[in-house]
Amino acid sequence: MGEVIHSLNDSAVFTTAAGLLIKQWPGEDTGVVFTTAERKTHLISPLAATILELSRSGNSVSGLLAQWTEPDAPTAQHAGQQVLFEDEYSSEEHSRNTLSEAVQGLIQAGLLRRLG
Amino acid sequence: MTSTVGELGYREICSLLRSDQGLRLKTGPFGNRIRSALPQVAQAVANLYGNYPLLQKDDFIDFDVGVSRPSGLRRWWQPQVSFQLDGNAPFNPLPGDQGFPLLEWGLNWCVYGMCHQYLILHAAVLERGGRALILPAPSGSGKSTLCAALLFNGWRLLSDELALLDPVSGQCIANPRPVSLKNESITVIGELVSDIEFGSRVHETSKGTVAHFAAPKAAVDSASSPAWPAWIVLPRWQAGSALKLQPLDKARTLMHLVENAFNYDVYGAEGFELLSQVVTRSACFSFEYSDLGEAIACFSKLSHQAGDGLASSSLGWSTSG
Amino acid sequence: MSNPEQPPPPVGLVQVLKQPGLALSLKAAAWSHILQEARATGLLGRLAHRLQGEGLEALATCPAAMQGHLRSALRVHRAQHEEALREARYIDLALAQLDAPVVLLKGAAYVVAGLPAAAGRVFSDVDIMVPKDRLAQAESLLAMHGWMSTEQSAYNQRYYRQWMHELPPMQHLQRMTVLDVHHRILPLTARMQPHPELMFATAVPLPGTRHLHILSPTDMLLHSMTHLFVNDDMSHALRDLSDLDLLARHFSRDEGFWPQLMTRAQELDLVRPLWHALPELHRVWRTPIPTAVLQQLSALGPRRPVAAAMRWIWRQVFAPTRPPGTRHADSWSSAAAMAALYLRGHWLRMPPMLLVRHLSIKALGLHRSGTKQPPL
Repeated sequence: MGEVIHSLNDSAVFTTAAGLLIKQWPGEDTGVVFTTAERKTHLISPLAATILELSRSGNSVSGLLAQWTEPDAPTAQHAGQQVLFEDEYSSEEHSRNTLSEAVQGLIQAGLLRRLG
Repeated sequence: MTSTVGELGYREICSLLRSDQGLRLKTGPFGNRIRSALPQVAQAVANLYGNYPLLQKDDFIDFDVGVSRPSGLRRWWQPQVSFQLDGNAPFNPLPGDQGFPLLEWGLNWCVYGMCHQYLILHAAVLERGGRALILPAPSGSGKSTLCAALLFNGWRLLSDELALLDPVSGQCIANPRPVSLKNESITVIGELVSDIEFGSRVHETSKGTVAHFAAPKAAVDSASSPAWPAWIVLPRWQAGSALKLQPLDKARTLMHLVENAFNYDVYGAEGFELLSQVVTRSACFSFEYSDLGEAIACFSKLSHQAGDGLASSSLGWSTSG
Repeated sequence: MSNPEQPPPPVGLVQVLKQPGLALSLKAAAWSHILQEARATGLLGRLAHRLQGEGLEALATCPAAMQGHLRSALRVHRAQHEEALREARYIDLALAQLDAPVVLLKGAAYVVAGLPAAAGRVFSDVDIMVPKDRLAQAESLLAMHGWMSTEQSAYNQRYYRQWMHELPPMQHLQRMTVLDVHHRILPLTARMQPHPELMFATAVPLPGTRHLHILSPTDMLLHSMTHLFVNDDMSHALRDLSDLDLLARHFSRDEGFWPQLMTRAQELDLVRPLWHALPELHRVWRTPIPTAVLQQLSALGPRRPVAAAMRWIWRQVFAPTRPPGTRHADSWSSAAAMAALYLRGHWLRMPPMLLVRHLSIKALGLHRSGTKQPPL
């Protein structure tokens, strides 16, 4: 049961829904998530999996962007970075929009919760 | 020493099936008490359950089942057969003489409907060298035909329909029972295995012709030996196609297992963890074939490859043309 | 008086539930029999729970196969309880704007309120009760949140809305869970008319929820008794009686409970179900009921021949399945009892003219499709 979000600005904070189990195997282009609240199992993209992991204790779109541009971001995030930055000419605005859409999708699927 | 059903002789088998006592035999981990007055059932049971161990009157019985003609006027002009568990009929009767297929389907229903001490997949399971090959697939994928071919070519049958995963050990539990084939598969396997005997052949089921052959004696004798999951292969028979064994993402394999699990909902998060472990330790593939001989050779090659948990990408191959 | 030379009757499910220690001396054949009784009566979960509560579920003397079935039942029961808690949360959320109490009934109530009767209880639907004047609003709020009526037949829809105490079952589109929405505990056509306003007035709010309530202890017991002794669905009779036993034992720890129960039964016009239930509870489950209460009740029953007939019927209904292989004097009597109860159940809930029309439509199968197909 997700909320319908009409707009998500940079500072809106969200957090990973409680009781999510995420499995990813190295080198694969999908992961799997189990939601204990709804007992549903979904295939998810590495970007989605990374957003969920990074947001376990709260995050925002701008927060995610900042973490992604960190030089020593851990390996798991590189998959997300690749998606975001695949086009070296893609602007920060493009990346922000991609992230924002991904976050909204996850909120609608009930995997992320919006806080305030 | 436990005696087997076959040592009883046909007449005594019939007599036990007709009696209140019933014919008591063990299949995999389950004790069954079977009662039926129908000759077609007695014949099939005698042909297909000869190797199974007999149980004593005091032994534990998991399923008390029966197949009979329901009483009433209909039995004279439109005979039907009905399955009972514990004396109750959980389904509507079927028309005609499908008594033995109904018994088999009923026994499967008892397992996947009531045995949640196992996480149960709709899959065939075969073993070689202590390791299990799991073929998860719905009907129509060619899994039954492939399973039948493999169990005559170097693989031990654990089950042709229901993979029983033990949540504590993570192993596949063996439950070999008569193997069913439908329509063209009957012909194909009949040609492949020259001395195969179909102990029951019924024509008018909703799925066409259904025939059963006995699980090999070696499989029944080893039914108390579980196996470690090592390969998960999603089969697809496609007329005229070239053989293709391709590595499959573990994430997608996991979803496939979830979709083919009977009681995943009952297991919840624990089921997710268990299936993730099975997928992690197994080499995962999709498989397309049209020629059974090639398929048998392919799986034989697979079984000679080393170890658990190898990255699937190193193990895939395909034949050309 | 039992013949001293005959072997004692086999220990069955009811005995083990009353005295779990008996499980220590059971042989494999006895366990097979108990498994059958437990499956037939829907009490396998309760048995598993009871044995686990006494630390007996992994008995050395219990066959590994039986232990497997007990583990299986515990697993199913745990999954269903979690589902009930989840559904209760969703219902609470969906009916947030309903300005009225939402009373959880039956199994879901036991689970959410953490009552002993939840032990090992398996069930498929969630039942709630809302005031009749809020029924339309409740229905539309539920529809907005994904529940849809399952009843296709126009006849049944009309029948439900005109006469019944509940809407046709609603099913959630995504979760596939089923919800029964009641507005009273018996149909409008029933011979007994417990006033729902009285039950709403004493309903107890559930902490941690917005609007969810459960019935007061006396009302919960009376509702459960009414459901069992007026209903025509006896498929879980012994289990329902076991629920009553657990509820009664729990609530009667309060000394004032029995007199309150008697008074309340009179207020709610539910003395007859009480008259049926208490002696059966005592007979089958040895529920500790004060003798004074039983005596007071015995004067409030139907005429002697009817009373005797009813006692005989309940004796058949509450017997677990007989050991396999015993001859079928029982099956005739249980069939006769069931037939009598079916008609009686309808008679209690519906006036004669409607009854005839309803039964004939049901018999001709004109109102509903849906048969159980074998798993081919």
